[in-house]
Amino acid sequence: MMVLKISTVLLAFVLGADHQVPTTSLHPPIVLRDRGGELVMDSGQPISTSVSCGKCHDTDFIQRHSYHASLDIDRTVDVGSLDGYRPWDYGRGGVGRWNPLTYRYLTPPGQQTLRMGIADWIRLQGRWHIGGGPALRGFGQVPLDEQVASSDVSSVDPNHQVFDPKDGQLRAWDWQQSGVVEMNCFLCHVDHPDNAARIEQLEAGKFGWANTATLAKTGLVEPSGEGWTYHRDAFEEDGSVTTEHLPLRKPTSAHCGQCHGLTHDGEEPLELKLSLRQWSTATKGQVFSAQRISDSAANIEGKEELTRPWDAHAQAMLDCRSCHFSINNPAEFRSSDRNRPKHLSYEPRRLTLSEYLRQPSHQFAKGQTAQGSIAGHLAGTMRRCEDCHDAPSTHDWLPYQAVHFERLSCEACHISQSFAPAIEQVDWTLVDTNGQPPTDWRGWKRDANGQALVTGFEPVLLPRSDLNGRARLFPINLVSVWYWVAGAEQPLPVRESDLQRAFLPNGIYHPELAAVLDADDDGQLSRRELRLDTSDKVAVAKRLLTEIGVSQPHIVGELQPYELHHGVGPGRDAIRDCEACHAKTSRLTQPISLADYLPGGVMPSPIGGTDVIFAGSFNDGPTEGESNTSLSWRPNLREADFYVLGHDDWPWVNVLGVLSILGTLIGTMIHAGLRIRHGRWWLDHDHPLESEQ
Amino acid sequence: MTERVLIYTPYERFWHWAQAAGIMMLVLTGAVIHWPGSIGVLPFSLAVSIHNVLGFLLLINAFLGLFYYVATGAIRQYLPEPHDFVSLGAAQLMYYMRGIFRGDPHPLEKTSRRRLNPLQQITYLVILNVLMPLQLITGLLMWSGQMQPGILSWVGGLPLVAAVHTLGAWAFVTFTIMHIYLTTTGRTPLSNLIAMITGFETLPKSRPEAANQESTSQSTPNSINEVVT
Repeated sequence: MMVLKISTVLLAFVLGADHQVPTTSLHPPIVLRDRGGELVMDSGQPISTSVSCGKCHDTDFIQRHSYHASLDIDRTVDVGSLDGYRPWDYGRGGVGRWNPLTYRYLTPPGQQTLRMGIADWIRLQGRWHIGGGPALRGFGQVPLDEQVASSDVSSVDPNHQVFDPKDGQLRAWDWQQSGVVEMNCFLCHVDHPDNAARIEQLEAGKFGWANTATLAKTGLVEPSGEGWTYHRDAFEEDGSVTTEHLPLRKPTSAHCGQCHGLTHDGEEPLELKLSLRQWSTATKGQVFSAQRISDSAANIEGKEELTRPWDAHAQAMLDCRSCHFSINNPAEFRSSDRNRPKHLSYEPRRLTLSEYLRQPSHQFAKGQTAQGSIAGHLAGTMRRCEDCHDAPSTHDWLPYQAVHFERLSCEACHISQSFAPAIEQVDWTLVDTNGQPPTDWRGWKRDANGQALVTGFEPVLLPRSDLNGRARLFPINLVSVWYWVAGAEQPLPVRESDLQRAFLPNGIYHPELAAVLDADDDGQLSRRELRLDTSDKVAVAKRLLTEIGVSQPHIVGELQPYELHHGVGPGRDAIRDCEACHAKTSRLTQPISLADYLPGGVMPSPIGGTDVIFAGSFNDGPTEGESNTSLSWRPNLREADFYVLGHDDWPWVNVLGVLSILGTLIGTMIHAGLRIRHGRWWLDHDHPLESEQ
Repeated sequence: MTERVLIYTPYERFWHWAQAAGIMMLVLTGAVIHWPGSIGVLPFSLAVSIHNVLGFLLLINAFLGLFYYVATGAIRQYLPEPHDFVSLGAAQLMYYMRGIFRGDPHPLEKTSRRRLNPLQQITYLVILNVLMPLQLITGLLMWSGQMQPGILSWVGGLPLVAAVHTLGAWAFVTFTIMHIYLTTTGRTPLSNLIAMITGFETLPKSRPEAANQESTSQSTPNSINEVVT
């Protein structure tokens, strides 16, 4: 017992030491240089992370070994050649796989029409990109500002052209002026990166300054005119900056959260926002924070009782790196089962620390999810639940462990609820006056005072084939999306700018569209009116699109699965009640709402490439063609070869059984009745035994 | 003239009632598993545990019973004799359909050495050799699924095995209803039931031909006749 106590104290000390961010960084001073190798304090040019950090680290290796940078642009395929994907998809990763939630289609080389070039992609999508990859080289092999662009603007070149929505013309992009975006080391390795300043530069098309702007909070730089200036007094004479001004260290969860979703490690009450900018939070309701839900600033239903943390792993002082480590980090390295001989349980061959510091792979260990199809070759490299937790010993109360572990992911019971809202429906068949699609979120409502009250939601449980070929149940948020597609032979989603031109000419709704949408004739279009839920409305919208030159517009609906893997609660909050699943009203077949209405009466189709088995059916009424009705998805796991005792049965077996019993009962009653009627119930009544004795 | 005859030995009665109680509890707990919440406060997990334990007890009891009946030769009671089986079976059927209403005597007089008529023999053969093994095997397969899911999958998976098991359960319930009703067709409505409780049944003293028939048939060696006059 004493040993246990001492161990606990030591563990707390070690973990505590790791959790407390040291006040000083161990990183040596770094000389900041521009792309030409000049000291930035002298040249005044943007900082080149490749050159500055490249003095000690192999930045070219890092950029080429990072799917965060490449977004799989090096793994693209021919347009429309991926089974189950959209006809215009040309990859499985961030580049090549279109997502209607962001509605950004980066035109691949070889297409006849330009939807969006690299430059526009950086402006619109760069907030979620670390730099490097397409932001540095586009679809080419050398940096964009070193590529020779064709002078012929009549031929489509996504690397060097942008589409001007005002006149529908192509414009050449001047990479020399804008600069390119190198992989931004500062965004993840500086203590307090200024992500807002970085994004501002990206959106302004000042790509070269984006990485420099990330240091806005360090006191090294400040905006000046069109660019940024350096504070010379913060630099040493040799052009280096000390860690006092530029504290560099390993990334924390907060760094990852800048792009991935809401992370929170401060004392101040956590705030929730309904914003797609917090991607994982928006799509899954995930929050990575050690803070108790009851301590957050959000108006959450039953908040006082919710003393659990937003994420038990965050509370346990884990961060993203704990599971999503660099795959060649010698401290974390795990050889792949595919490459390791079966007799080898430990791979001693690994990099030395100095080798790792020189070439740290930025391929981070990743899992396998329905939504995360990027870097598929790295799927399953991360540390999963079973790598840390000895589930059999902690689930000794659970009968039939093997069956449960075979069929259920840990998340199925341990992330039974999300306490933050998530997107439910996105309707790109119309846009609001900000050019954004009407979007509905699940997990919140208006309370009696009209205030937003977060209710959270229970994800649906659907089977997904894992890397071992097993179909296990995972908690999933289903997002329904509708959008217009133009063309038949080479279909493409209708451009955002075309939607605005057709529906919002001059920034206000087209009179014909407004007239047909304004159901209460009050001259205003509320959210409930902003929907194409009748054939008349669809006809008007279609005609308006056709009038601006959109060919054969038609509405397409799709269903996107987003698996929940974070937001794990403490063990006491996990589903332990057998009858939660083993009952006729089982959690396993609990429906999830998808939409309040069907845009255009079009039923959504599950997207491909997710490995999710969409076992179940749409219900709550609607069929193809019906518009003004809600839609939900009810799982039917029997279709995926799941059979849950207490929930599933064969109706014909029961019918047969009941008929058999009824027949027997009726038969015996008739027989007994006849015996009584014939006075033969007591067969020996004529010769009572007593009289014989 | 009647005699009190020991029809069932103590072990046979214990075995019977143990089986009866076990099957009844299995049906009840099985119903909870099939329709959770259907039987009062018995929770699903407890029902599963009780069902599993009872299943094994029934399995043990079945093997002990098999050993007993084989070792003592009492198993012959359950084996139809080829000769006259069809005609005797038909006679028994006709008795249940017609004779019983007219007060006809049983076609086969019950004795300690021939307790079962041909219809009972064929029924018990099916129950004990088909239905019960089927339930035990399918139950074992479902139980073993917690350790070796592969075996369960190999035989068709839970959907098939559970369906067969459930069908068997319905058959057992049906049999039990019929069985209980037929116990009332003895000399008195309760005479068969009392015999299974006390072991003794008061029967008319054996006729010479019946005695002869007994002496020529394969008798149960440990059956004891106790003449009560």
